[in-house]
Amino acid sequence: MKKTNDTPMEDFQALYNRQVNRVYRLALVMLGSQSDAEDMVQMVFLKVWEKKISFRDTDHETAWILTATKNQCKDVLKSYERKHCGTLEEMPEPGIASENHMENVVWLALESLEPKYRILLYLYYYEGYSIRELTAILKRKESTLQTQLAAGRRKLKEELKKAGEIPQNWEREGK
Amino acid sequence: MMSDPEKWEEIFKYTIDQTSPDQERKEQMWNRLQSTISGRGQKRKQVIRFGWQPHGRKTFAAALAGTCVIAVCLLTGVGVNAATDGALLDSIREFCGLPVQQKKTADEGLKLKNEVYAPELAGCSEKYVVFANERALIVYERQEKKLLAALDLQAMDCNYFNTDSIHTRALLQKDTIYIFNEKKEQQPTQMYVYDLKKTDVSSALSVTEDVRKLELVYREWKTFSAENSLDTFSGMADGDYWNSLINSGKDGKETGVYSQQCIVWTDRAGRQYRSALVIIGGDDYELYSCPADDTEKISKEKLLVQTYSDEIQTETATEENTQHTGLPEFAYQGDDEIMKLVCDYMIKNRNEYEYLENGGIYIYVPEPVIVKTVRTGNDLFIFGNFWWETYYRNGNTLMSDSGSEMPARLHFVSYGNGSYIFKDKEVAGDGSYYGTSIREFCEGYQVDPQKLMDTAEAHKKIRIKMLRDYVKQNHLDIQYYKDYGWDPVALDK
Repeated sequence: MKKTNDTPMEDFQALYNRQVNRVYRLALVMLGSQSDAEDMVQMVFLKVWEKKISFRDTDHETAWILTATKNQCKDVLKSYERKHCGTLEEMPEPGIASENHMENVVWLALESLEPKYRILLYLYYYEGYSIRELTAILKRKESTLQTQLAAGRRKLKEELKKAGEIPQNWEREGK
Repeated sequence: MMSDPEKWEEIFKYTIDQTSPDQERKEQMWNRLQSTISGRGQKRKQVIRFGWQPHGRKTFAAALAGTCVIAVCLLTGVGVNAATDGALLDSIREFCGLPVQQKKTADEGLKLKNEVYAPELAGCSEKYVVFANERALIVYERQEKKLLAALDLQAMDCNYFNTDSIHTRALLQKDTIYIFNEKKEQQPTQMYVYDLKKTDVSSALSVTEDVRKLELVYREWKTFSAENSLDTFSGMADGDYWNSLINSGKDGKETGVYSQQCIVWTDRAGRQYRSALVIIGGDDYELYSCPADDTEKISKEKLLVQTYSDEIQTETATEENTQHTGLPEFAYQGDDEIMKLVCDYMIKNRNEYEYLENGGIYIYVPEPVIVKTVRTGNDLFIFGNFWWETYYRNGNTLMSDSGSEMPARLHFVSYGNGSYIFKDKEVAGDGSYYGTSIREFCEGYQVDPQKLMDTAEAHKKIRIKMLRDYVKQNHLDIQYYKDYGWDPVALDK
């Protein structure tokens, strides 16, 4: 990666606009709280700014941003574990609430999963990365990711079924 | 009506979609970011304030704030001492537990591929867990739940694990670790001593050549090895327990590896335990322990072996040769046209061997032994044993991961412009067909089939040449290659 001496604020803002949704969403999936996701946006983009990184192309930029966000979130989660000697289940209640019952159920189901399943489900189903691409981002073998993806998917579906929330004729509300 | 799988995926994606920040929130976050950036530019005296207020749950926000301070301070290394006194920097380092270089070493050690077993469990007590592999020796403090030290065993020339004639040994005694090499069961001639009570890295590690000390520690290590180090498979739980752990993929379980030896240790109350290091899914480190008198009663302790330098690897993994990621691909650059033709063909067809399965962290190196070429008109037949291997990087060493030989006859065709196109091949059969098949495709070409089979010595030479050239052409700081269970081989000899 090239490092430039100067990163113009305009370029930085353009990068921010391209990637902020991604960072925010991933942090929300991993940390489970809107306020923590906002803090994570600060951390990740501050890192980009401080290190004055320039990227080869948008694919490279996206992969770097996702990996940095993932790593920062992992550090935060582990820092919380060390400080409070607790498990993820003992973490504060999630700060996500929606008026839509379905969305709440999905979030609660996600919350029940370990972070490694959450991030994998998010990157695979939402960001559309293939397993092969994810081996480089998550630094795991393809076979491991396949196993984790299957396990995460199964657990999420189980939670949704428990809540009776895979209806026959589900339609989107609102937006 | 949508099927179940499609439905839940759509539900999932829609739910995630709804969490995207709206324009107002994005602007708020941007303004806050700008404020932070301009605040740092002015080098305010107070430690990094990002302009946010603690949110709701104080304890979590405090942890997050602390991590932010540390992350930024250590990443930038700039301005902290100017903005604060040196005590803050020390406390930051203490919080993080490791100085920067040790973090890098810890990272590489923790991420080194586990071939068969987890890293060797070198020591265990109420206070510490000490484990080591071909890259690093890691010390974990159990009560504080953090990494305490990471020693660069390669730099110390004490990284002989899974080797043949020389082995690195480590002995934990209270707050001291002794590290030495044992060659053919001979007493070592020098020994490293690491004092875990010292926080200053440079003074914590020393070397001794005191013969009496060496003799005493070596004798104590031999006693420890004989009495306190047991085979995990038979010393804890039972075989089925460990077999189910390493079972890969069934019922959604992740693969685990365990340390080949478990350690017998005693707590302050005099109770004896057996403990083994276990790694689940490649990066979840755990200590499995049981009372010495009830080996079925396994308890699990998660080891918070935090990797602090992920972001460094993130930045450089695609560009630089760090650890075992980002190695440049092998390409034959010599003058031998036939070798180039063969190597290019093998590389192009490497996908047959699932080279890319692991995200490109391995390099594929063709190491063919070419026995004879036969030209007939436009046809070119190349007879040989087309060895290949894959390697990953462990610091200054290329670690062999997998490989194979392939006695074969490759057939290329020239179309008059000096270049060749691959046409077909005949490869040796399996089992009892091995010799017969080779004789069959050599018949009529005046090629001695035995020469395609007896290629072990020739392969060694071509292998080292290929690796030497690869390292030199790519300006890599690599000095050895290593096979599992064998000593490292220097590339410069």
